[in-house]
Amino acid sequence: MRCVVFGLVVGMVVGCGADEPTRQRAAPTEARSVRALAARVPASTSVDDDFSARVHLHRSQGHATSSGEPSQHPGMGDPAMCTCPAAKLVDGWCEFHAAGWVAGVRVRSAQLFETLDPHGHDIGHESVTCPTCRDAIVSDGYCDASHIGWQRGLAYMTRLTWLLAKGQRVTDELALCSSCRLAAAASNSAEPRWCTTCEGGVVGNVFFTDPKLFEEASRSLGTLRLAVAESARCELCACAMVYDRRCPDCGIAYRDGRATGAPTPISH
Amino acid sequence: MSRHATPRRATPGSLSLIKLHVLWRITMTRNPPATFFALTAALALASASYAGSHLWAFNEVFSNPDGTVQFIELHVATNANQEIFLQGKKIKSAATGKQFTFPVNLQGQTGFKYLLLATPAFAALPGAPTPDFILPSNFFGTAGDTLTYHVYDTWVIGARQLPTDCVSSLNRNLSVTVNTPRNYPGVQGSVVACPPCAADVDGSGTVDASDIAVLLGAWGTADDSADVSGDGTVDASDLAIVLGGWGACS
Repeated sequence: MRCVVFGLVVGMVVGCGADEPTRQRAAPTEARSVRALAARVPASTSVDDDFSARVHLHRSQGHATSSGEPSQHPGMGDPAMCTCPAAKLVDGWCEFHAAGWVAGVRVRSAQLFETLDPHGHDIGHESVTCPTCRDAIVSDGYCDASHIGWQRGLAYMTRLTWLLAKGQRVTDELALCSSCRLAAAASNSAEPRWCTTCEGGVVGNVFFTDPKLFEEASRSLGTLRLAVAESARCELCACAMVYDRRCPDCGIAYRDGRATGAPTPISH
Repeated sequence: MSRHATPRRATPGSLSLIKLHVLWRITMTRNPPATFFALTAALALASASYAGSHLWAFNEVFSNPDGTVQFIELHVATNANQEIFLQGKKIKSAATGKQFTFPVNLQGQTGFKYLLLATPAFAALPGAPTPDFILPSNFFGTAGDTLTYHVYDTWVIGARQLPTDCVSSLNRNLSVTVNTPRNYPGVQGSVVACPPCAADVDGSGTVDASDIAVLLGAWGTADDSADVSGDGTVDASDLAIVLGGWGACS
């Protein structure tokens, strides 16, 4: 049996080689099954396993095909099929609804979603010259100078996504009380909450056991929600909010989602 | 627009969930633990392909005095190889209000790569590498500007920092050196962006008596080096041009 499974695995990997140039459309029945499968992707209970599972999920679903996988980037994926359930699980993008999911919060702005870039980047550590980054790589820390957070060797491009990488995604397999589950299920709008029963807190659909991380992630999620609301007015402002930068169009500088002063005139 | 940067829609490296589903159906009914093993192993073996565009940053800018010849060079300073998703991102000049929107994503690996955006007049110069993207003339200001790339990078260039001597460029560390534009395929060049002083027959940088001497020495011949007017003969028309350009070349 193991040989069969191994053979299948190898066959699958070989069969979907990295240079596969075309996309294949899933049959409707297959698509439904894929959605069901996506909702049943096994989760783990330890931080290490959870990290691995999330990385593996991202690696398998980091880019869209027409098979129903949540796409990682707007403009990719199948516009004819909703992949929101799986996208919600892995912080992906649903092309059908033109919306992405980050920590279970719906992000309608493609630019904002790309700025959040909610997945780890494999950047060769030897090529990183920023001294703060090099320290952060070792300590799983965040480099304010480079705007890069490091977690288990992977680079995250915003503080929020870096913090999320430190938590555990709430799945059926994670032992939580019903209140926490409810909060995670309502991740799009529920406020972060600390639970004494579970000795942890749910932020969006991510669970934290460290109170300090929970607080930080809660603040970052608040920033995200502000940005999502702001994206209806100005997408670049929304991007600047999660990136602690100045909006190139409006000239408004942001820090932690708040404008830091009057807009700077767009002239020199 | 670009020979090197082409749309990227198909995605290599994806592991189809359909294939996972097939595996799941085959094994789950018989051996659930094996299913988990298979899924995990398959996912682990699937190739990683993370992508973004956060790590591109301004690296070098260049302009001639009238702004017709300009280039902006971006650079990825690490071996981040998937910084390809540039489509829709903008580069904007605060001084001129002009902006450029990347029309496509990139292809290939981006680690330590450069990206060259330049005006048509730059592209036409000898020694210029082929720009990856074309900017309109006078894209940025020559007397100070703030350049932004999406919200990812901002470069404030002071009023007197940008050289306009037709040869030097401004680097991100604010050093001024001979321009070294490099494009996405890695071709590096250098340009001289001011038109040569046509009346400077001997190439000394000044139109003076020595140019008259060269002209008179070739009088009546078809010597190309002295035929400033290009009419095939060194004659009074050439003398008129030299006298009209008297003094230092600007």
